[in-house]
Formats: sequence, structure tokens, C-alpha cells
Amino acid sequence: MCIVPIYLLLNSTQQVITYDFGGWSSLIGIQFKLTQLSLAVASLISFIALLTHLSCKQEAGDVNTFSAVLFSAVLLILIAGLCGIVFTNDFFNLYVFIEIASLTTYALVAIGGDKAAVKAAFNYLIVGTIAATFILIGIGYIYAASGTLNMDDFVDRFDTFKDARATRVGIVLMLGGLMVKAGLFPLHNWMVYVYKTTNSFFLTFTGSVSAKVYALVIIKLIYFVFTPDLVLHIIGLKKVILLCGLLAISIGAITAFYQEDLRSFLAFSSVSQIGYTFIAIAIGAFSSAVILMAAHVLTASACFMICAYIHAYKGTYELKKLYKLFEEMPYISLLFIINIASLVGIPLTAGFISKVSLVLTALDQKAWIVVGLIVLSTFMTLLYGYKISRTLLFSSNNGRTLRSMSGPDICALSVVTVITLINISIGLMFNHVDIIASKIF
Amino acid sequence: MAIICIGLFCVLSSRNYFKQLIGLTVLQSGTILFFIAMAKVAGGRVPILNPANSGPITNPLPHVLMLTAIVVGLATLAVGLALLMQIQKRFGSVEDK
Repeated sequence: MCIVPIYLLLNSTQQVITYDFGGWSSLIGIQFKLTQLSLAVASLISFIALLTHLSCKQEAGDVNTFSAVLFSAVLLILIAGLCGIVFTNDFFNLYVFIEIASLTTYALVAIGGDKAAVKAAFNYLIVGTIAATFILIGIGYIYAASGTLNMDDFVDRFDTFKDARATRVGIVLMLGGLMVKAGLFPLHNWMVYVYKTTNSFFLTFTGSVSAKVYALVIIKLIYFVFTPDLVLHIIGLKKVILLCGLLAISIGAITAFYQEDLRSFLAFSSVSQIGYTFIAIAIGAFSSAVILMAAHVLTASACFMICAYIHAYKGTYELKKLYKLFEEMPYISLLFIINIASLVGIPLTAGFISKVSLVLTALDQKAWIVVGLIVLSTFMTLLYGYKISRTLLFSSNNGRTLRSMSGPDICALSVVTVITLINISIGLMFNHVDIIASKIF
Repeated sequence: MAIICIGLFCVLSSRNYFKQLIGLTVLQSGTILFFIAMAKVAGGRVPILNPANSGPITNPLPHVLMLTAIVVGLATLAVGLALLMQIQKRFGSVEDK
């Protein structure tokens, strides 16, 4: 199934499938537009959802059987919402799908997990709804300026109203709301809080996919609808996004280093990964942004699955209780270390080529500060990767608490292995990835 | 706009989860009014197809969009209240400490 998105990208010509709901013309009704980018992302979402189901059977037992049924139903609505966000070609419909995805996320975060998970969910509800309201007001301004909600129609007549103040206010409000949803730096607290407390099953899915979908919508809007020139240069969002991204990668990496809990460690590392994506957007390297996101979806999903697996067997996320895990569970520890290497950006992994493509673009633009900070933050990431690997491999073993081990879950192990292999094979096919990415834009 | 600001202030300033939720609802009502005000055409009449009347008509689309927004707001409120009940059950209070 993982071959499907790559196959679609390689073999389809630049064809675009559109679907008008209810047979209304796209100017009146709602339209879905399936481009190569959205098809690839939608298959990736479904693929990760499938893998999460396969690998986290045991964690679903965290949730009791009655709510397990509801849980799956709500999760399916969430997947539908995320795919809708990716496919839709209508501003207001985008808002509706964002709300569908958000409401289901609030509910799923609260089921199971730690005692504080409901507080995290409520916190997310407040922040998320404010962000969504800003998106709605932004859509209002865009509609007032352009008189259309269809994105294609908006692009066609863009010249007539692109200087209007209402258009610009609308664009800023809308992108601002989406950036909160994507967990960009100054407003990332909800994300960390949610990742720290929620149940491991949902964490695997939301941690790898949700925030990226919003980042993808931002890329789609800036690149295809609002045009990078207007957003980044004339309105001047470039500096803002760049600053937030640079702060995110530095502070995310430094904070991650001090975490003693696998979940918070991965949460802060996600904050810094989102930062990389937004730096790529700010310097106009849209294909790098997509590669970065795809690489992080793979890496993060594998990391969260391994986290869930360790939690299922050891009953803890705390790093200091996992000393010498390598002796007990050599295979899973090895996979974990490979994936952390991809998070850092060690050669031969997907994380490496994504960072290289970002740095190359930054070098082209002679943005030395950006390059410097990326290298610095990669170094910090290397340090925390080293810290975790050292703990798993060598640390002295004191006060180990063991839950009785049942047999290893072959299904989960093989899923993680498959993802890791995909990761490495992407790392080996550097040229192909560039070709695929350049086909999108 | 004023209502939006009041709602936002209410959400950000209060430490009580229930008050935050009320602020959120006020914020959403403000947005709804913003859309409705935007739709008003000066001298426009009710948008019902009637050949006898002519002249400008008020744009009905934002009203229809706001129907959806009201439903979304209601759903958000319901999820929020459900979470509040759980918080009350688990922590014994709805104050943010």
C-alpha cells in the first residue's frame, strides 16, 4: 500500500480529478479536487491509520471494550475529516472539515490515557476552537473581498482583488489559525500537553499525521491559491514564519534534550520538526517542505509505535526505567535507534535527505543564519539521540521494574520493521525522491 | 467585532474552565454576527424570488454558511461540556490550578 502514493506520483500525468457535489456547478456548490499532492497525502493518511491498527492491538486494550467500539467509530470520522481537508476545493468546506477533524480529536484525546488527558483535551479544545474561529473570520474577509468561496475561481480572478486590504487581512487570519493548528512554535503548548497525556494508540496516529495535514493545507494555500509572492513578500509573512520556525527548531531540540519521558521527548522533537517544515515554507522550498513532512510522518509513526510497544510490555514511558532495554528487547531497541537516527538526520535515512534538500535551498539563497541554526539544532538533536541510545544500550542497571513479559507481538514488530525499511530505502533513493517531489510543484 | 474581542478576553483571562467555555461561545456568536453584517446590502430586500419586486437583494449565502457554523459551535459546546464533566469527576473541580 505504501507503493500507491509513489506509484501515483510517478505514473500519473498532470491530471486533476474534480467532483462537484450534487451536480451543482463548482461556482455554486462544493467541489472536491484531487491533485497528485492531495492523493498522495490521503493515501499516506489511510496507510498510517491501517498500520496503527495493526501495530497497536494491545494498546486498544487500554480502552475498555464499550468505548473501544465508539473509539474506532470516532477515529474513522477523524480520518474522513482529514481526507476531506486534503481534498476540498472550497474555503468554507475546508473550515467544516477542520472542525470535524478537530472535534473528533478532542474526544479521542480524552479517552483512556493519563488522568490529565481530559485537561489536555479541554485545553486543546479552547485553543483549537479559537484558531478555527480565526480561520472562519479569515474566510469571511476573503469572501467579502472576492465574492467566491471556490479556490479555483478565487485564483482565476485573483488579480482584481489581490491589493484589497480585506484579502490580506483574510489571508493572515486564515494562515494564522492554521499555524496554531499545526503547532508552530509560540503556540505549541497544546500539542506537547496532548502528546504527554493521551493514550498510546491515538498518539501513534495523531502524532504522526494530524499536525502535518494542517501544515500541508498551509502549503497548498500559499503555493496554489494565495501565491507565495503575495504571502511571503508583499504581506511579509516570510520573516514571521522564518522566525517562528527557527525558534521552534532551537527550543524544541534543547527542551527535548532535558526530557526524561519518551512521550515528551517525542513531543518536543515533533515541535522542532514542524519548525523545519515552516522554515522550508518561508524560504520558498515547497518540495523540501513536502519531503520533510513525509519523512517525519514515517519516522514519527515508527517512533510512536515503538513507544506504544515499550509501554505495553514495560508499563512505563520513563527513560530511567528503561536502562539496558537492549538486553531484554534487542530488536525493538535497534529499530528505535534507527528511527531516532532518522529524526536526527544521519545519512542513509529519510531524515537525512529531507534535511539536505532544505539546507541546499537555504545555501542557494545565501541564508547563512538559517543554515547555521539548522546545523546547530541538528547537533542538539544528535545529542539527545545519543542520550537515548546510550540509555538503551549501555547504562548501568539499577532499580529495574519488570512487568512479566508475554510473547512478543509479531504483528507490531513487523509493521515497525516495514516502516523502518521504507525509511531507509527512501534514504537510499535520493535522486528519485527529488524527481517525485519536483513533479508535485 | 466588539463581541469577538469580549469573547477572546473572557477565554484568555479566566482561570475557570467553565468561564472559558462561555467565552468561547461568545466568540463564536461574534463571528456569526460578523458574517451576517457582511451580507447586508444597503437597501437590499429579503432574498425571495418574486418577479413583482426588483432592486438589490441581501446576499443569502453567508446566512446559510452561518447555519453550519451554528451547528459546529453547538457541537463544540457539547464536546466541551462533556470534557468538563469528566474533569469535574476526575479532579473534583473545574478551576485551572
